[in-house]
Amino acid sequence: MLSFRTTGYNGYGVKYSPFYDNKLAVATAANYGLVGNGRLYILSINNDGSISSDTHYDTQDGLFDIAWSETHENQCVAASGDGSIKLFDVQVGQFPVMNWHEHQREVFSVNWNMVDKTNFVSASWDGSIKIWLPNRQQSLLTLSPEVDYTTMASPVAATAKGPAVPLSNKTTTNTTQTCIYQAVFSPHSPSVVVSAHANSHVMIWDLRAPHPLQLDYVAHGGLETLTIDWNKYRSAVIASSGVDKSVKVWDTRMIESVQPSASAPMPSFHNASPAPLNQFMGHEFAVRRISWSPHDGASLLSCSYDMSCRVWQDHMDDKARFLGARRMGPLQCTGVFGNHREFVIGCDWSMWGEPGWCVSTGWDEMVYVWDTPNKQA
Amino acid sequence: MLQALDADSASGSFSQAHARSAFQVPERPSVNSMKAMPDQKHRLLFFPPKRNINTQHIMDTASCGPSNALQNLSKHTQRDRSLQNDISLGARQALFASNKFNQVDRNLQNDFAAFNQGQNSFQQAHYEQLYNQQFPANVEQQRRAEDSQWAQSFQDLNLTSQPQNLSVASNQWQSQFMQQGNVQQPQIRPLNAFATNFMRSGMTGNMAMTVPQPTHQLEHQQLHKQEAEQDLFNQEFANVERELQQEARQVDVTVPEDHSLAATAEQVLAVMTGEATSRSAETNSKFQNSNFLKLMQSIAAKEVALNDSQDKLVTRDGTDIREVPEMPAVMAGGFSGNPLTREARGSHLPDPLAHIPDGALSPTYNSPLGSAMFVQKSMGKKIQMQDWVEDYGMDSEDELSSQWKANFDGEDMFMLRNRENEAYMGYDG
Repeated sequence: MLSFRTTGYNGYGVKYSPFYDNKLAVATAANYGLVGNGRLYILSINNDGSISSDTHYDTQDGLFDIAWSETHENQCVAASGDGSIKLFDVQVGQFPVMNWHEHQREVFSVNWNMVDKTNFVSASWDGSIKIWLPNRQQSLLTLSPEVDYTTMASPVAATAKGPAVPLSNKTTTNTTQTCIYQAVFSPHSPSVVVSAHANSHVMIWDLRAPHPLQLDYVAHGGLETLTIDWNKYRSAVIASSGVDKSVKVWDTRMIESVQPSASAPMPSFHNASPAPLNQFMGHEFAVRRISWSPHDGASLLSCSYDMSCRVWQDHMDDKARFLGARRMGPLQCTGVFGNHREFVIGCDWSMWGEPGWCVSTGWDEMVYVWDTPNKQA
Repeated sequence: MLQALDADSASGSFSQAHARSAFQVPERPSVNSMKAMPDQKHRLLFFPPKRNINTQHIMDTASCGPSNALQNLSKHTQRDRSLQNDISLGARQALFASNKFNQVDRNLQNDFAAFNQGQNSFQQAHYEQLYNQQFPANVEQQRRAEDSQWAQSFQDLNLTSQPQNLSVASNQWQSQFMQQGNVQQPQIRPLNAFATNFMRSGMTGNMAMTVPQPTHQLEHQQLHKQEAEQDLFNQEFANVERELQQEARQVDVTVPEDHSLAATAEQVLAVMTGEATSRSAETNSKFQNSNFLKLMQSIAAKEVALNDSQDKLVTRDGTDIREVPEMPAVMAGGFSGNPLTREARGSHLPDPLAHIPDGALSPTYNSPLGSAMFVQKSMGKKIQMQDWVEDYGMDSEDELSSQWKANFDGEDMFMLRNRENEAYMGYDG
């Protein structure tokens, strides 16, 4: 296990370079991201096991996520709390080479297209998803979903339009109903994006379609969906997680698509949650980020507000998915990484290192590079 | 058996007559229309006793119009059963009260009576009165005798065979009925079907006076169960409602209307430190030592707040908290214990492979090929293809062919084969 301390800055996002086996980018923010500056660290893992900072970039607001370019080994894009997205070039010091400012609120995730490799997607608290080309000033496309006001996480705000009948007499101060926490390009299709929403929804978008929204369902029983990822080996499988502490594995083919039509005007989302393929229980607090392994279709890494990372094995047999003999929670968790002393916010698998190596960062200002246990199990 | 059938049909014909009188209730709205019907026997089929009891059905004018068997069959089968489950308690009691006169199981009747009296005796009394009006005493006496006799035979019989007897009886009755020429030919089939259907529901009235008993009993249990379930549901809903209201009140109390940092910090603290029992000890100790939560505490206590330009968190004397030395307390490299702690949950069973030290098993043995190669190495013998591929050309054939020779020498059909064998083995024919 190797470590690096981002002194004075709390880690939010970390990514392995898709070009080098020893380069990391870490997005951090001062004061736990509440107020203050941000800093992007470019780290190198040295042969003697130490981690050193090649360079770092200071930003006006906290950085919440990071994505390496798939076409340029020195470039990466960072999501900022002021609504801007910045493209940094490791060879160019001090300032970003590109700055986009279209989002109205915090940008919470950026993800580079792994198939097309030319564009990337950002998701923001302003309730929109934007597609960008690194060489264009404006965004290519904006996706903004209708807000479902019926879930627990998105109750009717005083001024917002809501259902005609009040659903609850419970007053609440939650105003995050439009937040989108993460949007990820499919590693199997150049134009398909999945997004995780504060109103518990998971949405799948196809950028080619005139109406891009393809699938929309409530994934976590009304509680916020914080993170989502595509399985790198099974093209229809995604995993999502959030405030309900569980990681759910979904087969998107098993979720009925409900499209509104003129003849049958009905909401384009499911009122009740469909059944997941598999479910990992074990985290004691909301799960902040999950990532499927690039080397194994069954391994999944998650990090959580309970200050731990967990590695899960999805043993579900696709051909006998209702013979849930192995649906036993503790058996599916093959390892717990408990070194972080604050919330763990970001994690990633190493692409070019040994299968099973991964990196995590959190609010304890630490970046840990570690090996997942029992990766063959 | 024949006797039993006779007895059944006898009681059947009696009950027809009985039913005829029973159903001529003056206030029934169906009387006029029913006069158009060729025979009163029809009514037995179309207006089973139950309809008398269930006022909803009595008042159902649709059932009184010029009806035919098919219509009634469909009415019977398509009847919304939920209505019956919803009818008032009084109607239900009346339903039970009717059983009182079947005189089959006195204990059960007593139970019913006790049950009914506890709740509403008026209905029962009213019904008794009604019943007595309908059934003259002598008829009833006669019927009772019949019934008890029949009930005796019913008890002697195997319960499963009972419906068979009944259906035979009913068929017999029907054929009798048919012979009287009261029913048009096309109606035979629906009538028959109706009669069977009728009987299954325990409403045959005449022939199966005892049958309603178990059915009613079941119905009673069912109703009772449904009632209990309903109560349970209502209770649960009330609980949820109460919880929601309580929660709403709590939220109102704890969260002030302003979304200030202090209030938010308080909320975060409440969420993060509440329900400590649901978390592992490790997580709890981590939470206790968490700098973030300490910061939340100091923000909630208004010791730390945003500065005027809203870009820093400052203490009361105006210094940035990041310059206060004790705040960032995490030391790089300052961890203890096993970096990879195994899942702590679940049972702590002894590790069956504990005697094998870590690293003693080479990773190559984990794969099937690796272990196979290990076996091969330890066996000390090179496994070759001949070890599992049988070669029929080699020595194993010798014994077999000599056997053939011994057994079949001289027989034509094996000669060629033997010669071939010999040639193959190098013998000269």
